[in-house]
Amino acid sequence: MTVEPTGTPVTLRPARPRWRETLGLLARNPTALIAAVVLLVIVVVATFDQTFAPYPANAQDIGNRLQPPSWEHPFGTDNLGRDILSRVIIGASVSLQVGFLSVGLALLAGTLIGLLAGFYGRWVDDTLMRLMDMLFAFPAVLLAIAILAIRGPGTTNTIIAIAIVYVPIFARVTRASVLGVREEVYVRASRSVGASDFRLLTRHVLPNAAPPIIVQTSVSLAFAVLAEAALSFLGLGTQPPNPSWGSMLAEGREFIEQAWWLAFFPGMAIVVTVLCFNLLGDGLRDVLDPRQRTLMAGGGR
Amino acid sequence: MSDVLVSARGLEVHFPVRSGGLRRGNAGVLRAVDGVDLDIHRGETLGLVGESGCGKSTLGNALLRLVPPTAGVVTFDGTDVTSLDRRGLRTMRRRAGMVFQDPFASLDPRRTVAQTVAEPLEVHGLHGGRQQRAARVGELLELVGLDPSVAGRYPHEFSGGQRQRVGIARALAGEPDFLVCDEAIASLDVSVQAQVLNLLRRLQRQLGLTLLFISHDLSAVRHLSDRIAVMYLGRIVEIGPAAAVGTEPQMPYTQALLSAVPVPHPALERQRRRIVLRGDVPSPSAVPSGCRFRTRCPYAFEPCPTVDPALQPVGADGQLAACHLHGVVGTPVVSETPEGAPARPAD
Amino acid sequence: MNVLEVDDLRVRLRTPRGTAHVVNGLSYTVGPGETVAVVGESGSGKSVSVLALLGLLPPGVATVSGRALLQGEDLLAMDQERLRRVRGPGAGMVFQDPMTSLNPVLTVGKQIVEGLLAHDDDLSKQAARRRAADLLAEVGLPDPERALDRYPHELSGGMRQRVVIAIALSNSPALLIADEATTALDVTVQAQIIDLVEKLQADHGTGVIWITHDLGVVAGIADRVLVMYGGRCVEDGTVDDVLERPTHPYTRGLLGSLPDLAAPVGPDGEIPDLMTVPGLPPPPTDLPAGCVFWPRCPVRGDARCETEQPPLVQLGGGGLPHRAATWCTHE
Repeated sequence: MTVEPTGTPVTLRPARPRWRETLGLLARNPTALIAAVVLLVIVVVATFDQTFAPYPANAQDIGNRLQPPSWEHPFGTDNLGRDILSRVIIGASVSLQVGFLSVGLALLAGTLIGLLAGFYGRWVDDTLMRLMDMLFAFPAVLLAIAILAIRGPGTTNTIIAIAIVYVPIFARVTRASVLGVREEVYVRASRSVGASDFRLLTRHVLPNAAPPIIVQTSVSLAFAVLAEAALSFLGLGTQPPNPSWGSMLAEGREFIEQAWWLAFFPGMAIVVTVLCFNLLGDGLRDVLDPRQRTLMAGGGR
Repeated sequence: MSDVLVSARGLEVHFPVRSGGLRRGNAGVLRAVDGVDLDIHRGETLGLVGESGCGKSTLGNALLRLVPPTAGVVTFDGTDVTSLDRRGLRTMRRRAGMVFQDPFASLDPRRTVAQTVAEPLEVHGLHGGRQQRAARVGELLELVGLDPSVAGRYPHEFSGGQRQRVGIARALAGEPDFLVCDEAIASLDVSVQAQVLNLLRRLQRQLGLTLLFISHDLSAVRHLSDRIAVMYLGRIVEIGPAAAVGTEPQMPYTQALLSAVPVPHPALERQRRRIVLRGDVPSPSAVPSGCRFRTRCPYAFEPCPTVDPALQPVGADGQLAACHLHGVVGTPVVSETPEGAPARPAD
Repeated sequence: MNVLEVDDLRVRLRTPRGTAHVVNGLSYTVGPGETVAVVGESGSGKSVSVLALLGLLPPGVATVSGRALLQGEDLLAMDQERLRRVRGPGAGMVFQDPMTSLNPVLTVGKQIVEGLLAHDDDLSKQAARRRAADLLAEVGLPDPERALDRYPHELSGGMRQRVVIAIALSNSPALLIADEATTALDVTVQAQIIDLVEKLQADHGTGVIWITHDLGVVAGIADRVLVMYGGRCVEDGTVDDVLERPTHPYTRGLLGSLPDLAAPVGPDGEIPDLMTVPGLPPPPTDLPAGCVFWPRCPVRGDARCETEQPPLVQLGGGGLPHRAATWCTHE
């Protein structure tokens, strides 16, 4: 009764591409989904800020100063008669630019460092991570302030400062993830067929080490927006008259008793954006963890 | 062209054991492979058995230089593998492949089956062109008994046995001469093990492969192998034709191993007299002096602690065993090392 | 009285892919001092069936029906508190991986004592410790007094499994359930553990359910065998009957696919190819309508096989009970 193994695997489910499965899983988490949608709206508005803003950001109208929210000025006007809604919208553009650019830079540099440190270990690891530890030892905001003090204030320098502050986090997260993936059998299997280190790193290690990095990106975006606001609040970030949520908060502080709307709306903008990035990060973490994923999709063995 | 495809001489793989405290000295080395001489002949299936911790997996990895040997020489088709440069190593990797134990871990979960199987083709620039590679992937999948249309699927969509077939297809993609199967069936269900064993045998005949079949399952090894080598604590303690080693073992460890393997015949099981070994396997970082098996051997006698036995011809033609019961042959122990530490409960 | 009587046990699990019928009408008994082996591959439902007996399945997800009388009391009808008090003195369990069944941060002694104190309010700590040392001696651990203060990771796999057995037997249960207890162990250690369980069983008269996929182990330890496939019992009987005269096509396929050290070698020294059962077991969410083995069955000797589930019938030939769920009893 010798029967050769049959060809077709009988029990395969219809194939679904992995990314579609990811989106499907994300959809099951309503808070993350709402957060994603809200963020999408914010990003779109920020990208087309000039289109969405009803008034120019710096158009003063002293006669109309400190007006409460109304139909012409849904968020009210500030002490120089500028429309707060428009300033919040344009400020969104600034905040998000700073956020994405600074985190983007930190991501690139930090991931590269973490990848090399984690994969090669020994002296490479020691040297790189000691450097990271030195950076990491500084309290984030102080480090940013120090950098801005050296380079001078302004949006571009804020991006650089925040990027430098966040490189160590990405390096650490990447390194930790790489240390785990490096020991996986499939990496050894690829090595056994002759793959070079470069191929191993790019095709196998990085893609499988990615999930914690992606989650960290989302969380860091939240912090970057917050950091930009803080620095602008302190007068070091985006300089007046350009609007920034942080500087708007600072300006609005004086008027908080008589004209609460000056500080309220930019403050809410910060809160909502940061919250959404965090919720999205949480949702992604659940979805990208392979074990959680299996549980949720009922897939695998 | 020599008859021997792969050979090892004095192969050692030692790992430093970092002790947490102030202890220093010999206790700090884990001797996974501790002096192995081996010849694997072209076209043969050599079975390598042993229990956990004996070093058989490490030996398989060392032969392919996936783990660096700390001493000794490995030769592949006449070339010294241990001193190859990067390019030479890449060529060797095409001619020698490995099938890994865990079908769930040996495939990259983010790559499709097609990408995994095609990897050797890409790495070595074989079958240039996307279409030719896809065709070759299809051929390989069919060769291992899978439907080529599943090439676009991901590993998590398959069962363990199917994934193992994918692993075999990948290992065969570069048309290797030598294949190491490192516990390739251990993680599979019984009926699937049979399928894979049949597959390996068929492939070996069809492709003329030289196979090193590493397993703790003596029945599976005897089924597939021409010769069997038995490992204990980093050394080969017996080697010979499968029929001989499987029925007339000459070394007490092999005898004990054989007597411990259960067979599905109740009447036989009831009559069996098992050789029950005392104690547990010593740790590979505290190998007993002289014959390393003496701490558990029911026949240990006077020369055992002081002379390290060498493999000597006994029993059938081509059968070798390292045991003083057949005559005291070996290297006397130089006593600067402390007498083998008492068997420490090992992991 | 039988130690355990299981009657029409059924377990359904709620999964994202639908309802999984993991156990479908399992019935068997275990007498005092008897060892019943439950054999099956992954997905056959063998592990789930015993977890269901002891109420160890997640309540929101699992629906269990049927009866399971442990010394006359129905386990499936017990409330949580009664069940907790039964686990231990009623039935002890030994799982496959001793590293995860033992708490890595507690010493061996503490874990045994914990089990003893949980079931005997009158026991003092010193008395419990002495009893723990006795238990370790009984399971063959060298130097039991010192072993009490060891942590699990300081022991070898075989020794850890002995500790797990000691804990399982600490409250002198009537029933011992071993789920793949030796699968993770080396074959020489496995032989030691099997000998140990047999000795303990003889000393205490414990009934044993031994779950495994290894038919060699079954031949060595079992009095009776139950073969599971797709959540059902497809064959049961004495160990000699089932292993030497297998009737159900699945059992025959399973036995045929084992590389057998005792098997005769062909005339030219060739060992024949193994008999294989092609394909895979059916997913419990999608069981076939007729005989559960029909999609893979090489025999298919009866027209009813495809549409009707064959009942477990007593096979002819007198002697001890030997049943198989098939109409295809002839080659």
